[in-house]
Amino acid sequence: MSEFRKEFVEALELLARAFERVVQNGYSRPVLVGGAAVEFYTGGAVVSGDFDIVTQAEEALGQALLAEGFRREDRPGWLLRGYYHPELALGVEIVGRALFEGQADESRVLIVQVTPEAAVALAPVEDLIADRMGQFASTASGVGEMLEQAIRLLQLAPWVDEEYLNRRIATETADAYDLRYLREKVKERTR
Amino acid sequence: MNRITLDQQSAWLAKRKQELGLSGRDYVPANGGARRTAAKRALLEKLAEINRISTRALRFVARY
Repeated sequence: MSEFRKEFVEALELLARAFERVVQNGYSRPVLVGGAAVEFYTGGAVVSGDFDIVTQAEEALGQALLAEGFRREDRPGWLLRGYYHPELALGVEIVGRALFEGQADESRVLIVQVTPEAAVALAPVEDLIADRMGQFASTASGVGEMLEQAIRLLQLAPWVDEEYLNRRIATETADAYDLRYLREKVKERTR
Repeated sequence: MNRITLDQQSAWLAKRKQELGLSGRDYVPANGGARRTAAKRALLEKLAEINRISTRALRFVARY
């Protein structure tokens, strides 16, 4: 039995086909970030509402999504970065051109073969953990659900580059937190 | 770049969750949404509208 919900797999298949079109047009493969990437790495411990994508090929990806049955969110007054699938109730937003504002090491991107013919790319798990820690640190009292997501991502990762992860947490939290702090929180969950 | 299949990731997660005593889905809170952009809110509203009228069994029903 798959750890992933059926509609999540169906969505990945659709996006993988769109991503292949982008690659075939000579661009880099778009990268999934945000909640959908967290859903992948945690096997659905976190359920995402939509798919955030980083790409430098915004127009090519837009065309590929339209070819897969998506429609552009085109109501007046809104930025044209959102796409929705009218049958699957699936939403996609192009959230930027550089992975974590250029702070992430793109050579660490994970390629996930969804079908024999098509793959998606996902942000490295270390960068997602650091991003969650950054959101956790964004208020004085701490955003609890973001810390919880970081803990689960670390617990469920098969392997992390600890030096890279520590550096990225420091960057995303303006040196307020480090990997040692997160490890301590993970230990508290397993006591 | 590292490469993995969806099935390999699923098998790893099943094993690891068993070690940790975790089961099921959706037990970690998602983003509370307090810092959503206007564009994101508009997209999620559209998805909610589709969900309200859709009769398709397998659709991407998610938390908004």
